Amino acid sequence: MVDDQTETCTVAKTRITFAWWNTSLSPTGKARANSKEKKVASEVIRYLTRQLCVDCLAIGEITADDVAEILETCNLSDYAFYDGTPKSGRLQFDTGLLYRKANLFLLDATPLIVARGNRSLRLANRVDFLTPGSQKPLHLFVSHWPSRLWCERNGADRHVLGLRLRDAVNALHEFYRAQANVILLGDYNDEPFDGSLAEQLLAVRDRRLVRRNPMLLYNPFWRHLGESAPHVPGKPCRSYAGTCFYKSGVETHWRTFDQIIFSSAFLGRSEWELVEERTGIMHLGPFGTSVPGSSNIFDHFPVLAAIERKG
Amino acid sequence: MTDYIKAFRDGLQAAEAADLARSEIDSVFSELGKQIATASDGKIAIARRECQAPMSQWEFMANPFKPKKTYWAILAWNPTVANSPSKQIARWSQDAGGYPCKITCDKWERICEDREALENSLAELLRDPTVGEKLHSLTKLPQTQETTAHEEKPANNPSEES
Repeated sequence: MVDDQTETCTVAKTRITFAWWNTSLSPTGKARANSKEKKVASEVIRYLTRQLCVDCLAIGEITADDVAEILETCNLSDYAFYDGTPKSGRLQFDTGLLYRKANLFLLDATPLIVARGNRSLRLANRVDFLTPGSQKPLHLFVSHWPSRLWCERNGADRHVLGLRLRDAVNALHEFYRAQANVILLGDYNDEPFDGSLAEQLLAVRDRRLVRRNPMLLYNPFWRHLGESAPHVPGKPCRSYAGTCFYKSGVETHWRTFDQIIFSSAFLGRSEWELVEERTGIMHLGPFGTSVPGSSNIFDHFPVLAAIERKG
Repeated sequence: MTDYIKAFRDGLQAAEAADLARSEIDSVFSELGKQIATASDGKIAIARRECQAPMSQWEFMANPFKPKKTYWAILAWNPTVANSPSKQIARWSQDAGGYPCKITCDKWERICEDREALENSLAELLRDPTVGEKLHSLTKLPQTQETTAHEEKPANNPSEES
């Protein structure tokens, strides 16, 4: 069954599917999952790679040991792993990438850090891929920004993170003297409407405006801020209203902190096109975690997006 | 009416602030150079230099007469050795206004927003074992001349990139 699916996933390679999942397995590099939770994480990753054919799965709150175990459990021999969990001083990166070897060739990867006074902040892991038959690389920025417990909403540090990520994107546009193929994904611990993302990074909701001003980025996760299903009188509500769950939230238990953002190159300006209908949140209900964080460590849902090479 | 006088004054103020920030960055590197020279008995000098980026085969074939690109790097060399090889320990870039400035080594890229961040990042760079190996190899070069640790070295191409 797995092998059949693998074949299906590797055939049609005009499409590349990306996903991000904050696994909650090992926050800041400290393992905390029990064997049952590790098993659930492996099942989720198997589903993402084998059923949903994700070619590039960025994962957060993991260690290299977590991934080694998952690779073995899921038999992901057709995937390679980029370990983006280096430690620089006291700063511990905790993200990595599983990518399908047949479809993505890793060119380069660099952890980016913002240093401000005596504080160091994880900005992103920049990972550059080449795809078969393509001349121009795909540039991914995988981020796991600090929690709001340590870095408050709308605080200066969050604005600096947005600004510097913007600078990094601009540097690529300048290098190519055209719009680079940039995809930003991760857990920003900020919502699409927060200043760091909307005003500093310039990741906006308005596709038409992005086409008119290609320096803007398009954030499809503006469309995933509210309830996933409408209220129907007399029916039990199986809806969710974001990508992660905070039980102690006052005005909402849900946040859309996990997002995948695209440069304007994917809106008709390059060989690749965003397939927005494949953009969304994967509910973990079938894995026994319908309300994240209620009785286990998982408090985030995976998010997905896809791009397709134009005919 | 547009207030050009205010804009003009703002521009002068910004130029002054940028000048101060650039001087501050220079002083950080000067202090770094002094401390390393002392700790290495004058066998290591560290400074920022402009280097020529190597042209790839593809670029050369496309246009062999194209002017070579340059970039800034943090280089180390042994000033007690005649024609000491210089080793690149990181790439360097800075905003026209001084900050942010950027240090890029094999393992990470640090964007420094102020003096304290720059000092901490340079210390982090020196703690890196790859950088340590490069500096150690420079101290082991056979000494050929008596000279001061701060001997100026012209811009060149590092013998080893970071």
